[in-house]
Amino acid sequence: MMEILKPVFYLLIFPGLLFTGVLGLFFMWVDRKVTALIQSRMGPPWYQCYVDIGKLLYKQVIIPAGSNRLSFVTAPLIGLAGISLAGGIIWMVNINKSVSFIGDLIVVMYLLVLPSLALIIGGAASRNPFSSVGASREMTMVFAYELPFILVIFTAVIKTRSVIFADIITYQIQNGAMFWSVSGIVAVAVFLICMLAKLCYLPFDIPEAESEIIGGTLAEYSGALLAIFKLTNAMMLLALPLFLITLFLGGIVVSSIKGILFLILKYLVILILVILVKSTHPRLRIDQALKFFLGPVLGLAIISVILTVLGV
Amino acid sequence: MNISPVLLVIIPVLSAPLAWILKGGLREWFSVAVTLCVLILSVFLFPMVIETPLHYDLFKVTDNIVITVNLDLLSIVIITLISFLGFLATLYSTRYMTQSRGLNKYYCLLLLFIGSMNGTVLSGDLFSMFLLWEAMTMAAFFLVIFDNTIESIKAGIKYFVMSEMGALFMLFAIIAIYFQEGTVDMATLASRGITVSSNFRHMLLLFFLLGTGVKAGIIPIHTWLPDAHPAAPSPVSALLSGVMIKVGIYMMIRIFCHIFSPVFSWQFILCALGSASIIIGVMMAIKQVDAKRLLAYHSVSQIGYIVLGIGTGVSVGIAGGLFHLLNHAMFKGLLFLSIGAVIHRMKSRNLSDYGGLARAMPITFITCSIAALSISGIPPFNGFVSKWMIYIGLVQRFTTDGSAFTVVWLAAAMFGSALTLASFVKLIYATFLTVPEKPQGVKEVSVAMWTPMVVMAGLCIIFGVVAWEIPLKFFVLPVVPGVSFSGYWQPGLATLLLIVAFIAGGIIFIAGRLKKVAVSTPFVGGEEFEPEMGVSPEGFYHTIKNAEFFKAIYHQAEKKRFDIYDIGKNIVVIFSGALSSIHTGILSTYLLWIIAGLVILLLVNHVGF
Repeated sequence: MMEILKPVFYLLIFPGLLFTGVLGLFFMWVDRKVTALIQSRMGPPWYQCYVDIGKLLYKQVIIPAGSNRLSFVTAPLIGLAGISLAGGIIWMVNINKSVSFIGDLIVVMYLLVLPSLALIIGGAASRNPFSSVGASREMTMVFAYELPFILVIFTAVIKTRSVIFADIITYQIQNGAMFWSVSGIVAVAVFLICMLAKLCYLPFDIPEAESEIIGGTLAEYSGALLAIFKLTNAMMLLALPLFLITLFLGGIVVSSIKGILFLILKYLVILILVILVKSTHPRLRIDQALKFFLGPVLGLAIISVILTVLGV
Repeated sequence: MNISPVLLVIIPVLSAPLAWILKGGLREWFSVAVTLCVLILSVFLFPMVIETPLHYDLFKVTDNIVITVNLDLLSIVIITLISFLGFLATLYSTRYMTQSRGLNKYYCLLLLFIGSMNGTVLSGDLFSMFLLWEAMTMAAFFLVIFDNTIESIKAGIKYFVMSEMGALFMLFAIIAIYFQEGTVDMATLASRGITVSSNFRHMLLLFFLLGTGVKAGIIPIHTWLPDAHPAAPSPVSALLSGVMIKVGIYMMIRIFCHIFSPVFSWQFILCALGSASIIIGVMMAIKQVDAKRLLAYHSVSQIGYIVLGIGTGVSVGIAGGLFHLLNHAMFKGLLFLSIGAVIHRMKSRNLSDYGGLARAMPITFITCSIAALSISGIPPFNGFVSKWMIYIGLVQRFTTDGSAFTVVWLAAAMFGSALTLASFVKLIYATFLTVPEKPQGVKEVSVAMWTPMVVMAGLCIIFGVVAWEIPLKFFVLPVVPGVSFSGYWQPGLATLLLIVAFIAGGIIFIAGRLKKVAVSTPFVGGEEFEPEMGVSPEGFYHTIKNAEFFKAIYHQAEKKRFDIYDIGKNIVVIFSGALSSIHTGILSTYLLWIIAGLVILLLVNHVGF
């Protein structure tokens, strides 16, 4: 019984759903506060994101008439399940390397697609033209950023010759972080750009685009279902930078105070970088974004792979 | 001598004429009973073969050509698959085909098709294998042209011509082996090894690759597939894509992994062809609006995964390829049957004519969604496990050879998986979720049609969740030894965790639902809601289709510039055009040619002596 309960605990309480969710919502507030400061506003108080979720949970759920209820209701849950498991795995492999298994890196990459899939299914099931435009754009974005994203992750695989998180972390402990090489810097840059797209942040918030397609995929969502989508996004905001830290920035060390401070520092640097880009760039058009990802970004990713193969 | 394996061929082939004679409902149920018999027989043979593989001579044709029966683990797995899908497709046909004419022909051909596929896999020598291979091609050809429309006849002829071109190459290779080695028995060849010179050996392998590759649908000799699959009736498409192309793969495994093993230099080519098939197949699928054509292109793409798995040359990769073969039979068969159900109701293959069917056909919607998630490799469904094994195979290969190409194959495979998802999102959206242009008034298909679909959907889940405990343990790992269980992805636990997280989300949803759920019309900015406001299937990937690079490629592909059949046809037309210009029909010109010929003959004669 314990063998089953332990993973369930990891998944739901720590470091999975609850922990990542609560922490993610906190960093969501950091995001909003820093954006506000850049725009010379006050910004919300620290508890704002929790209150938002609470309010949404309390509000009535409205389902669009004639839509497919099954897909409409299950879509947000698929995304939440995917990100909970992915976040849990990323935390756990760092805390306790022995839980790492062969190919866990690939599993996490697949699980990170689930939130996008959830948005697409939800948008498609909404029976709303704005939502279907959003779904189409979201899928086009996945198409655009997925190949560079896969390629830069593979630079870590090429270097360590392994698809196991534990090996990648051990390699970095022995040889220093992947970041400290030309290929590593390029890879991190590409990863950050793809992360913006995965988080649906400006300049790549094309699938949501409040000002043109009124929130796109999320247009018809309300109440608890919207809360789950928001929670998923908050968890992504924490899990994706952690994924980056694990792969390229030396992993997460939680056994010492120094390690935890370093982790927070690394995370905040990534977060601030993301926020700076986000709050200073206008939105691209979908065809521009596609061109951007399959042009320069893909080029950089390929350069990074070639440099890694050459050992630079 | 245990005669029972031969019954796998004899029963369906001998029942075929009976299916022709019988009338009405009796014919349908007779065919279902026959295929059920074959299925039961193959299931009974399974444990027997696991203990001792069967290999014996049936009869002697000449001293060197002996027809042998070879039933080892690999063949029994494929045979069980053929019998299983054959049974389900026949059951499905009983309701699907009711409006077609000439059903006696249909069931007769269906039984012949299943029998000849079983025979191809069962035969232990290249001679009988080739004969049954050709019988399979013939049966499939007549099934493709069954609807007797211009489209199906064109597709059928294309299939036939391309298959026969491949078969000719294979025949040449078989004859060459016969004269060089003095035997066509596969087991003897495998144990003794092929003794021909290196260059000749490569040529033989190339010919075998062409022969089996056409059947399997590898790029660039896949082009019959997207034409033949849509043209055939849906149960036949399910069989074509589900098992017939797997017979091609089966032969490829026999040739590359048994008879000519080891073939290191060809692993690279197999990997390259596999990766190219994955990406090109799925990129073509993304832009299709014909539902079955879309599925056909995905067959090309998924076959790419299987070939890539075999090409890794690492046990876990080969096992992954073989497992993907089984999984592909499940989810692609299921997709064809589900879309077949939609076609049965909507009388159209065009995605633009569908829409909002989730409500009218809930079972089809769920089975089709499960199949779509499986083929896209979403955990915890079966497609994920086999694709994952192929990736691990590639990584293992990379750790040993360190070639950068291996990383390219890996990236292609993983990117292909995302593209597959993209393509199926469009299919599900356009068929089941979007708002239909006009009200349709359809209802769910009958029990005989949805039972096979539900069975296969169940298998998609079972093969994914308890992958190590059931399918891999019984079907795959005995065939490919050397794969250990420990330290791998545990689908059972992961599924449990996904379900737990799913339920946790559900609890959040229910806890938050303090007030009753309300239903309201979608918000369209205050305008009147019109169905055409949504995104059409053609428009779903408008941006991708119109990106400069893809636009040019798609434009060329539409003109059939990459279709080897059309290239060949053009060459033949040019060549015959030159010849036909001589045939003017004017008597004096012909006389001139006769005299010219006579002069040349005389000259040759003169010089020759």
